[in-house]
Order: sequence, then C-alpha cells, then structure tokens
Amino acid sequence: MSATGLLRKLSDEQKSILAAKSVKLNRPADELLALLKPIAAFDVAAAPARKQAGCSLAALIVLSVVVAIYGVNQEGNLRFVSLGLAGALLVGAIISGTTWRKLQAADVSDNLSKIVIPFLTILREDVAPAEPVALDIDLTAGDAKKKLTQTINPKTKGYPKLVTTVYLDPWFEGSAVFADGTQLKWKVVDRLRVTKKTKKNPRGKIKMKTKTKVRSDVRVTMAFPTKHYAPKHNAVPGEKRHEVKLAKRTKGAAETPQGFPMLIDLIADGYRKVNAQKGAAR
Amino acid sequence: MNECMSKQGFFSLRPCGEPAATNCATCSRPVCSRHLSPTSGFTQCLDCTARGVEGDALRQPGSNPGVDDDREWAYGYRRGYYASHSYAPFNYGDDDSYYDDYDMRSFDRDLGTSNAGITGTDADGKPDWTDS
Repeated sequence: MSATGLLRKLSDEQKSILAAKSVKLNRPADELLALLKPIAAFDVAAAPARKQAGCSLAALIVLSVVVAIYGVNQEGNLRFVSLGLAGALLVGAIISGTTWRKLQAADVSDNLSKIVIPFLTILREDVAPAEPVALDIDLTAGDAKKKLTQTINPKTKGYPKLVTTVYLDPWFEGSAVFADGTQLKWKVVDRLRVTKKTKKNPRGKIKMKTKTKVRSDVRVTMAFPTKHYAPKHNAVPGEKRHEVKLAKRTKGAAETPQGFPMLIDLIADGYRKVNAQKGAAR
Repeated sequence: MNECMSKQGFFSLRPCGEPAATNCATCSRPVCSRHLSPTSGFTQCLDCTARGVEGDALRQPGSNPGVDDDREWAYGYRRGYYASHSYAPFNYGDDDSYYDDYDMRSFDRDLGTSNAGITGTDADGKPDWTDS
C-alpha cells in the first residue's frame, strides 16, 4: 500500500501521535505495538515516497517553465498547446508539492521503527500480558532546533570553514515489570554532532560537506526480587529487591542507531549479575 | 487437554501454560495457537521455525515492522542472540530438553524408547552406547 494510503488508514489517536511526534503512554505491550506498528509502517513507506514527491516537484517546475518559455515564443495552435501543457505540468507540480508537504509534516524519527518496535516486541515476551509498560518517546528529529545545545563557529575567517553543532536528544524512556517480578527502567540519550565543512577550490567553486555522528548513552536500572534472585556479589540481607544499574555508550553513524542491541545487551548483563534462588535453572 | 510446551520470555523463560491446539509437525510437542508459526501454515511451532531460519535470525530488526510477523521474528532473534552472545536464560517450570545446549532432538525418539537402529556394540559388549 502507498504511504498516503497507510496515512489515511491511521486512527485518530495514531494521527495525533504523528502530529505531536511524542508518545507518553502506560499500556500493555500488545496494545502499544498495535498502536505504534502502523505508524512505523507508514514512516518506513513514507521515506521513499517523500523523496519521489520532492524530485517530481523540482522536475515538474523546471519542465513547466521550459515549456512555457517555448510556448510564448510560438504562434497559433502550437502556442496554445504548449501553454496548456505548461499549465498541466504546473498542476502536477502543485500536487507533488502538497504530497511532499503532507508526508514531511508526518515524518517521525526512524528510531520508532529501528529501536522502539523491536524492543517492545522483545519486551512483550517477558512482561505478563495485562501488565502495562510505561513509555515516554520523543519522535522529533535528533537535530531539531529545541535540542540544540552548542554551536562551535570557526575562529578564523575564510576557507575551509568548519561549523560544528551539538544536539542533545533524550528521546526514549520507560519502565516495565517482568513476569518474574523484575522491575526495569531504561533511558536512551543521543548526542548528535553535526559538522558542516565548506571549502573553496582554486576556481572559486564552493563545496559543502555535512557529517553526522551519534553517541548513544543507554542507562538501565533493574530491581530483582530477592525472593527469586540472589545477587552474585554484595548481598544485603533483608532487602526486598536487589538493584543493578548498568550503562553503555557507543558512537556511530546516524543511519545505524545502536539503541536496540544496547538495551538488550544491558538487560541480559543485568540477569548475568544474579543467581536464581529456586524454581529456576540456567 | 495438554498444555502448550513452548516457553515464553527472552531474558528468563517460563512455561506458556495455554491449552495446546495441536502438535508441532517437527518436534511433536503440544503447542497453543499463539506459538504456531504462520509462515509454516500453522503446522510448526515458533521454536522450530526459528531453527529453520537461523542464518537470518539476527537480521536487522524493524526492517519491515508492519509486515513481518513480529512474534516469529522475536523467537528467531531469541535463538540467534542466545547462540551469538552465550546467554543462558533462567528457565522456570519443568526442565525441557528442547532448550538444552546440545540439540539431540532428532535422536530423542529413538534413544528414549529403544535402541532402534543401533547395530554395533561398544567396549562392554552392550549396544547402549553410553560409555566412551
């Protein structure tokens, strides 16, 4: 199905999430997946459709101008046909532009499809079906203006010019209680470093290159019920829960976010730090 | 009625406990409808399907979030993760040899019932193949 068809099929609640680009919910994992998966499916389908609409818009505008100029210089029927064709191309450009704007306005961060959906799918296996999962997700782009924290301008004038902007994006937070009684809290903070390098070649031609690097900080806190689990080290007698705090940091390209494997690894590491009391075996 | 023998969970495993709908065509375990794989035409359990797609089990998550069967993906990912990260989950409920480190399922039916198919003898002259 096309991206616009998927957009039309979304419920009012899903459309409001797309408009607000944020999710603050406390519901069972099955319900959260049923709500968020169609949004993610739309976002995946919208990316190439948006690109296509943008390219069509530019091509149709150029073509309509060329045909209109050609038509003005003609006489008789040819002039009439050319100007009519230019008008039709302009209408096509307007339609492409409207589609592009609509898809652009509904664009959410790829973190939804690449991190949130897979993580919730795994989490669902460990959380009891009726147990709610609390989610707080910011789906705006990582380089949104409100997330800008620092701009480093070049110290000297002239070329090459290097401008670095830093964005802080605390985009994913949540908590859940597993079926074995373990409480889980997590937080993912991305730090984007966008470097724009502008250089001038000897013929005076100016070229610009942009590089984006993402550093992801993932923090996980797990509270294991001492009824079921015993800490491998530093046991405190009498306490009801044994808390484990874990953190991990990775750097990488913006196109390959590492949040999902990092979350899974940290929770698995948490389980490696405890022994089961009874009724369970590794 | 038999209970589903599939195990639920990722970080710790627990029995599903739902009433079984049918038996898996590959491992013969009773399985509920939730743990049957749609791609096998609901004849195989999710674990057996995950074994079949092992090479693809750790594929990029979320490549088709609205299209892929997410539960099938989760069982494939679970199997791939345990193998690639040497992760041994806590296993609640009855011990199930299906999840042992060494997969001997293909031989289980023969070994469990008789010495069917064993024609030779070992050092002690008995065809039990137990000493090495």
